[in-house]
Amino acid sequence: MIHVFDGAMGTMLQAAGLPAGYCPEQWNIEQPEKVIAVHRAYVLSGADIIETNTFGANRIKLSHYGLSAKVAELNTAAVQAAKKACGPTTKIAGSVSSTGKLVKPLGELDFDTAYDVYLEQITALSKAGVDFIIIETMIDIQEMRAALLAAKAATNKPIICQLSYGADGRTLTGTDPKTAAIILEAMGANIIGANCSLGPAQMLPIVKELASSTTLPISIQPNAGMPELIDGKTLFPMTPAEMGSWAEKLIAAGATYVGGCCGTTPKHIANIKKACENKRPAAREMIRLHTAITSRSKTIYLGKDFPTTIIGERINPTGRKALAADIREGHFIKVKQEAIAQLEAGASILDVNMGVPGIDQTAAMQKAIEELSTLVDAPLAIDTTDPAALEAGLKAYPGRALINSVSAEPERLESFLPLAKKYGAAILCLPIAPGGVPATAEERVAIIKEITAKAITQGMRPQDFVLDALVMTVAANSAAAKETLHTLKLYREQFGYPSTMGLSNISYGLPRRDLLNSAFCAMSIASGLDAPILNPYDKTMQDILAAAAVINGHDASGKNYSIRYAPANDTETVTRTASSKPADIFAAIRQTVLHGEKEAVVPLIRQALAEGHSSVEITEEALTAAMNEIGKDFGTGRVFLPQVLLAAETMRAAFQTIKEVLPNQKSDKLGTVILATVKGDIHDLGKNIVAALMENNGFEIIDLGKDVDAATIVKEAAAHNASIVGLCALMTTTLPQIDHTIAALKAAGSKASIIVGGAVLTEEYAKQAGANAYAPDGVAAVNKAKELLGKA
Amino acid sequence: MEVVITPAYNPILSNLDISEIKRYAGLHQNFGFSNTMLQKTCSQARILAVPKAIWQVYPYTTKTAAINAIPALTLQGASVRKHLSASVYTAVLAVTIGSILEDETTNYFTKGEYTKGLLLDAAGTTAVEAAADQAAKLIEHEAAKLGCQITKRFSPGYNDFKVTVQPDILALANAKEINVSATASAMLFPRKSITALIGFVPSGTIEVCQTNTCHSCNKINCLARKEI
Repeated sequence: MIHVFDGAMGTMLQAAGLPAGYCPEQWNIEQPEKVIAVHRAYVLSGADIIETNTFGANRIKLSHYGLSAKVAELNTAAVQAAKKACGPTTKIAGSVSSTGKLVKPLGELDFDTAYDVYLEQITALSKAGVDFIIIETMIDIQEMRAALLAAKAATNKPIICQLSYGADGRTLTGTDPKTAAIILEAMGANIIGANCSLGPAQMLPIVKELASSTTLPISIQPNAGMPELIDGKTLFPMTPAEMGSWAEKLIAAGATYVGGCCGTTPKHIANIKKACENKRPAAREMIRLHTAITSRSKTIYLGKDFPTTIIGERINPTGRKALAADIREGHFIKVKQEAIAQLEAGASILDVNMGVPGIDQTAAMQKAIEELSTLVDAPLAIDTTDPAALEAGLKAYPGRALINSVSAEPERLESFLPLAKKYGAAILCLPIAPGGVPATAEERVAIIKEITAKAITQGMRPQDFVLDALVMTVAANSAAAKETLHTLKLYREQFGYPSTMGLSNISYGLPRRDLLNSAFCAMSIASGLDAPILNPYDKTMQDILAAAAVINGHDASGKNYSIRYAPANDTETVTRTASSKPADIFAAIRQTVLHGEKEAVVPLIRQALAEGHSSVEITEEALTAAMNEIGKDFGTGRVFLPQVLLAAETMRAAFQTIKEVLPNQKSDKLGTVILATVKGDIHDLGKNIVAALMENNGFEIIDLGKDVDAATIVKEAAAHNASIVGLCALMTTTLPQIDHTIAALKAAGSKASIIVGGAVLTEEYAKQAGANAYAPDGVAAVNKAKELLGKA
Repeated sequence: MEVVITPAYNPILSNLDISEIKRYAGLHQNFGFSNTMLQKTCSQARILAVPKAIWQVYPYTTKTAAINAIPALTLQGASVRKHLSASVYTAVLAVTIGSILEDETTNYFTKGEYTKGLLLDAAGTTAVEAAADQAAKLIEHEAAKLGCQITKRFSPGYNDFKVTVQPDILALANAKEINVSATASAMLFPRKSITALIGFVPSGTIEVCQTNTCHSCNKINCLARKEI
């Protein structure tokens, strides 16, 4: 049957006189008759389920009104009020919603605190006798997870989980309906749906997506259209009749629980009821539930119907000192680098192992999961043998993780399976039993049967399993590879669950491991391997996987393969048009500077010096000439700042090489330049660019940094007998410091020419401030300096 | 609408727009430049950025250009008044990506790796703008619940909306929660930070002003300035 929910509560209470800014839940105690009247109106209009007036009755929300100590009282009173309005068959759903704070990693609220807050409220609702718990209007899947876990702990009543989606079909924090359904169904939600934010038209595709992603009933409670603010009041435009007609469409799409959210009234509900009368639930297409791993915003399916999925193995500190140090010291920079690099190399799931000896692995796993879940959208596998670290990781993860791994060892089964069930994770089943590592495929199958049977008794489902085929070293046992391949075939035949394995163990102790690994990978895929755990940086392996995708029909028409391997125009770096072969060594050096090839310039400089050219010759004929040319090209818009800086880096490498070869030779400088960002200004990028360009154009640079007061600039200019003082200001608030500094330099009798620049400066301003020149950019600064010193 | 203190939000930077990095680095979009270098910079910025945002929503009185906080803030400058001229509320937003990225930019210049420094700085700007856009999405959601659309962001420093207002804006946003402060010269610290006002305009009552932010900005020599 179709179940009809009630409509909005808050607007009805406001219509009944609830003052703006007053806590709606307080009326459960102070004016219960008004709350009852709203419920009764909905019951009379045909609602089968009414929601308690407890939307914000959690400790955190109530604290805004100084009512955080009254959670139990307000929730209990709300249920009593609802009971008084019920008809003989009316059911009551205890309404639960956001704390208003974001849970880590999107906010600062601890998961455990959120859980406790929800546990308190839902316990009170359950004790007071609700029939359902409805967790609604959630925008963050992590907060939903905390509330759902609390609900599972607090009650045996059915739990409805409704997120709010935007017009783009995702929650504001990026979760799509399919991903939400997979996460919440695995965690034990009984009914899944959506409410608020959108009208019924926008919710229709969400119902359809949910229907194709879960076998659970679907509940839907749209707003009465999109709100409008008219004369200071938020109004919803959809009429009750329109709402009724939309209800039919929502039911046809698969919803079996239909009600209303903001702007809906008893009249809207009456129309929904009318539309539902004599309606049977739509026949839902039988969907096959595949094994899926998700992040907050992305679902990856595993199995024979899907492309081979790479599980990246590189976030593992075993035998890797730098990564271990990064984790031990709490930086997690290298962990993040490995995450991004593996995804760029083709991994779809990232294995996360924090096994650094002597550290708090629980804290490290929590931090790693929090950091990675905000950095990448790939699902994660939590790789640990420590139950505490596992729970910390599962708790922190706003998705459905893969647990790596669950063996048949009793302590592992006892500690890991309940955690997997509780947090809705998938498990990687490892066929290792107390007797040791099984040698044959048949023994492995037997152990897998034991693990999965035990898991099912704990409430896990077939789509929660990924089977490891176990890879032993072929150098130690020549039958090892064949046994693994046989295991994969038996897994496919007897279970059909997706398979995985740590592939590179096969080649341990042998040369050209990449070759063996790749060949083994190809053979394993043919035998049924779905998700190898491997090093995704391995080029040969990438080639094999790309080819296998075509052969297995997972790369339609070889499209991705063609993109990857068909000859393409190389867009890499050509900063300037390649010129013909240089005429002489100076031309060759000029070309490397113009192309920004700092590695290439070093041997050329050495060659030029070895051929007997003086450093002055090299500087004037090659280096300076090239910089002049690139400066001109910048001025005419043929090249841009990054290319100019690459050229400057090449100049720097060239000058450093000259110094290395001729350490005693003094180079003549064009002049000494004092550079500073003026007092009060903390921006220095522009000044740094000017310093880089001037230094590599032959000036001696004294860089005083940023936020430099006039007195220091005057003093340093005198001390270094500066020929040029370059001053920079970026903000209007620090412009007066330009005037002040110039005045101070002049008052001190400085003979230095003054060049000014910075985003807010202009030629006119420079003139009125008494500067000798204005430079709008770094290249201009070099040219102006040369002009002022007569060296242009 | 009551003013409820909104907590800090940590935006997710699961990608950065490379064309924006190119723009902020002063690279013409169609000009060939090392894609590998740009990709690496993009990844590095995502690793080093620690994005945080916070905002509060206040009733706004257009007649007096007052943000009705306690105490109220009267906005000075015709441009910001015009921008908010149809708004009934305004969100006061502060966003940062922290200072680790800018420290690394400075390190690059010190080491003579100027191009990496320039590109990382540009990626940092892209990151803080992306974080602000994400925060604006949540603000838009709050506005929609009230039946409002939102205006584009309008920041101190745009046109005649003076940066000297920064300390007041930071206080209204409750920016101390995300460790953003202003120097005596009203510059934000960490430097890769943004403050902005976002107006709530009743839906359908008026076309929301889509001000071109470059057009409103005084930094006429900015190398990332969009063509107008």
